[in-house]
Amino acid sequence: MDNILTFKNVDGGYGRVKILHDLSFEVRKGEVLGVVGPNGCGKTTMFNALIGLITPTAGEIIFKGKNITKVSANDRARMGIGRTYQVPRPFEGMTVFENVLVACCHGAGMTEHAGRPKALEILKLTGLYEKREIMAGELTLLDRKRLEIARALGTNPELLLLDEVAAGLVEAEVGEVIDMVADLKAAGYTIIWIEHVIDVMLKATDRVMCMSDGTDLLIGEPREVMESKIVTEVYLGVEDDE
Amino acid sequence: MIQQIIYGILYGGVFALAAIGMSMMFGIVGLTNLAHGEFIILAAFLSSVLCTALGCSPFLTLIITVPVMFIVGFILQKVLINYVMGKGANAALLVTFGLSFILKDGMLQIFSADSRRMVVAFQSANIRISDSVVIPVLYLVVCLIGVAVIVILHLFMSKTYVGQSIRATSDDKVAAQLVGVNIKNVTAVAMGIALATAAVSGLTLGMPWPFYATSGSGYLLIAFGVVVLGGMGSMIGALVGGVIFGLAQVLGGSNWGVFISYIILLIFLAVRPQGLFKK
Repeated sequence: MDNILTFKNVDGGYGRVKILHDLSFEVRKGEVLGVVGPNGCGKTTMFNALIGLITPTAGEIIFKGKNITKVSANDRARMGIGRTYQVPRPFEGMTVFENVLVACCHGAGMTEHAGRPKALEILKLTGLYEKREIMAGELTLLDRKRLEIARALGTNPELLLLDEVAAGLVEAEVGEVIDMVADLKAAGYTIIWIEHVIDVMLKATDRVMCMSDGTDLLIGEPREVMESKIVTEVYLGVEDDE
Repeated sequence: MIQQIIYGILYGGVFALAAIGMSMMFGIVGLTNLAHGEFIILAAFLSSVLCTALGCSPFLTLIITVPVMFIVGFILQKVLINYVMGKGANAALLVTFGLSFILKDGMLQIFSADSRRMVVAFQSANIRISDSVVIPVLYLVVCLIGVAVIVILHLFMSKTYVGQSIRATSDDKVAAQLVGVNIKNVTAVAMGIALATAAVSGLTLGMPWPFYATSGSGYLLIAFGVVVLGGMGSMIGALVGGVIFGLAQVLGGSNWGVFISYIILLIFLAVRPQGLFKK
């Protein structure tokens, strides 16, 4: 399977605070890669480096064979990287439909004429079609998370970054999110999914990467990674008695 | 009294137009443009010079001044303000403060300290409502221009591709970038539009009232007051704020008008600092 994304020895952080240390991993085209790790281990910073909100101080990020380390955030969105936030940040002064339309027109480079049917199609896929004229600021948490995904899809991404979309949801809602991600994978999207809900990682991902102290600790089959001794120690804080 | 209220409302449309560009830039870019008043006066001088040179109606000068001011705004934001905003909001504020002095002194050198006024054919015409109440046509026209510009701007923001990207940037700059919006271009377009409204504002202020090279700071204070009263970034707020300021200035007369306006402003800052129409 071809790699769509490669992190090569990436260092980075915020100002003088270095969060990522020699982070290296690859993402295969069409897979769902889960990312786990304790709070503060650099998962969200890795996303921020990937979408261009921070520039690595060392290393390279290769997307679809191109070095995008110094490419601007909006250009990365146009190249096919879409992202959701753990705490949804919709354009609250705009309707649900307008939120997705902006993404279609700017991220996917569509004309407004072409973007309108595309936005409606995405709203149907994400279960927001009936709420398309509601102001985004009035949505429930689940619908805000759906809108995050819908807006990211509007940019026509090849790589979709999901940041704790299951956080704060009840079990039934988590099930809906897992189903939606399965549909997206079936539609050909490559997904990197940061999540703390272990059950989600086991059910919905092809591989899992565990991060610790800003670097890749272990990457492999979900059950193998989640049950490994080193991950249990670092991620769950459980030490082996033997 | 009725006559004064009519004047106050008509002034309101003109004041709202003076404020709308400033309100937009604060709402979208987070920039308080302290040179906005000078840009209004610069546009008024441009219109005045074109009127004299071409011998045309002041209204026709908008064909030239609006695109010229748009280009000035676009380049200013793209080349200078976007750059300094990367170094913090205070740096950008100081740049606009410095720019206001450069523009003021530049206009003093070029146009002298003498006042000017643009004259139209219906300068003194009135619509008589009763023996004691008239509607001055010039004030009615400039007020309607102000209202029309604000309505057009509102439609532009809500219905067009560029308007939607400006609103998205105004809501959340980071999220806007993540859906592919080039926020540097969007803020440059927003500044272009803000100065294009300043071009129209220069005309609507320069016909009923005399203007001179240093009168920009007075209009900046009015614009600032209107924006605070109405709510940063709100177009309907600018209209309502403009009318409140207009009524205060007219009812207070030349002695108390400005005083009352700013007392109202202080009360609003204390009680409802977000303004009337800002959520």
